[in-house]
Amino acid sequence: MRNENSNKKMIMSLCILSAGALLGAAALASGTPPPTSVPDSPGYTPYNPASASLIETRAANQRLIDKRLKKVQHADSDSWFQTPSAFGEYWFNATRDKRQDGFGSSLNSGVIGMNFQTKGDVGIGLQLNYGSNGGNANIAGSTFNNDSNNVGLTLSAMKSFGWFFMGLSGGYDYNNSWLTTPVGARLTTRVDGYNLAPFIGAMYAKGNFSASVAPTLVMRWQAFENNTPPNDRSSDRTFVLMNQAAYNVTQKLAVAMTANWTRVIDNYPTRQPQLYASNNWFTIGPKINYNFTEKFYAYAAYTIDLGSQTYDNQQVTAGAAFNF
Amino acid sequence: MLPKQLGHGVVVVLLTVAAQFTEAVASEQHKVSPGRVQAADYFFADAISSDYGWGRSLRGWEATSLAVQATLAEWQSPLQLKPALTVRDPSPVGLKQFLAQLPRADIGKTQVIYLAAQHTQRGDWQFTGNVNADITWNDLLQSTPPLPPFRVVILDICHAAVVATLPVWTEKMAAATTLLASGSDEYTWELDFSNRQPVDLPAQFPAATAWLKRHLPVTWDGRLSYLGLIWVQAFLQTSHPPQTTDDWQAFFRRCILESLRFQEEASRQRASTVSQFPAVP
Repeated sequence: MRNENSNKKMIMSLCILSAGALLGAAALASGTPPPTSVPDSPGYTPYNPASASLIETRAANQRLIDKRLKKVQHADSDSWFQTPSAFGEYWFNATRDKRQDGFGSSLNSGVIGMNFQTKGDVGIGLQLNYGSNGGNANIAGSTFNNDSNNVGLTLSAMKSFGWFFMGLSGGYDYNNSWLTTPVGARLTTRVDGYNLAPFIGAMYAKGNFSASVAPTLVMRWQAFENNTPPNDRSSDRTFVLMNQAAYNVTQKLAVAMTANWTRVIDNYPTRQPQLYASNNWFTIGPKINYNFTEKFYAYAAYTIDLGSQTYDNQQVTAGAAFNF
Repeated sequence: MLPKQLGHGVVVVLLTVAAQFTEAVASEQHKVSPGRVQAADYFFADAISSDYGWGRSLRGWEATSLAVQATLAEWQSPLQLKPALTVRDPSPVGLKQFLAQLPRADIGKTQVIYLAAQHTQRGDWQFTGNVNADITWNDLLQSTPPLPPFRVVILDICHAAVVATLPVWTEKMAAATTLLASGSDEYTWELDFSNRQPVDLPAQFPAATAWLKRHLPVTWDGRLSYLGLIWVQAFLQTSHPPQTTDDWQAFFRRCILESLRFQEEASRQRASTVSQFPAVP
């Protein structure tokens, strides 16, 4: 009886939380005029869904949620270092800017990281990513190439209170891009980016089914340094409603569905306001997870962004993890 | 090296085949003769610290206590058994009182005591609620008279084998026969029969699953401690109710074999080293 009651409370709370998050997001959507310009530096496009720092922040938070959902209870909460895992991941993101003179690009990214549970039902995660981006645009009949490399470090922590959780991710990323004009001129831009992403949420697991919803606020600050001044700074805030549902088909196989809603709340552009951002989109897609052994598993996922006015964006992810 | 490995493999295969055969036979015997060969009388008591809050409750361990009671009820006549002494989420004083209240004299029944809690590698019982304290076995047992030999203790905790290294345990509990759920540096895990991952337990342990569904309350959510499954597996292969110390030691040896079988066939990661104290050669 106690379990039934707690399940009912949990489901009700999930509904309330989801509804609250959606209402809050809708209020933001209606109350805030869409930004008319963004710091959409070639090679560093913060409002592009393919932006590595946004993707990695989202992934870091979801990893901790997934780990907590898979946590197996044991009779000792006194250990500082419990159930550690290490993972490696590769993802490829293809994006096409639908606007006139927009850049299309392909981003290859590798991620390594680890996470563990510690005292007080707290999860800790650390990940390092390296990405290489190649893009080009046809502007007035001439091709501009834009290539970049980026390195990012993300540290995340999540505290669970039963079905409710709250957490914070923080990261640093460094982006180095170079724009080559048709006549061979080169504009080099280096970007130091910092981000903080507090999140709260609810999770539910019963039998083979699990689900989570996690409203997340991603705040980013960027400092631009060019080989042709002026240099500049920018910042932005983005709301992401992360949703995921998963089902264990067999002891080896699990499937999941991701459905995230992303909304750019505001931005403070200070450079290159020539491009317009899409500030509202959905990211949906399936994920498959296969346990080769009880310690080693691999996964693959596909996502596509829908509803974006400016970007066509798709991503394929493949990774493997080891539970020590 | 190769012959040794080969020998180990042969032993495992033989153990597996024997265990599967005996499980099948025992399962059939169980259907035919639920009252078992010879009835015994048991006195059951349990103390469980369970409600650690924030989704960390040891629900599986509470289910294990019920499963152990159900096995004892099947072994005794009449087929019912109520805990003579039970305490949930005790304070340190409450647990000491529980230990002190256990009968010291021979009451003509085998006394089976089930103890479960979160437990540190140092050998501290972690209490629930506002106690916020880890109490050593030294503190818990200091004022407790030594347990008599007709006592069976099931210690279903993490790092359970640590107690064997504690002088106070040797002094107070060595006369009893104790089943330890884990090695000194091991967790003991909760299993979930309602979830196919990480281990599809209903597929791998159909007889135990069916027995648990029949004997646990309909509200059972599928969670059980690791030792709970091992206990039920051993029970399903035991037709003679254990009464004497030798019987219990034999039953615990069967538990140890079942634990080894679980590690070989189901999961090493969710298993722990089951042992008995005092050790029996």
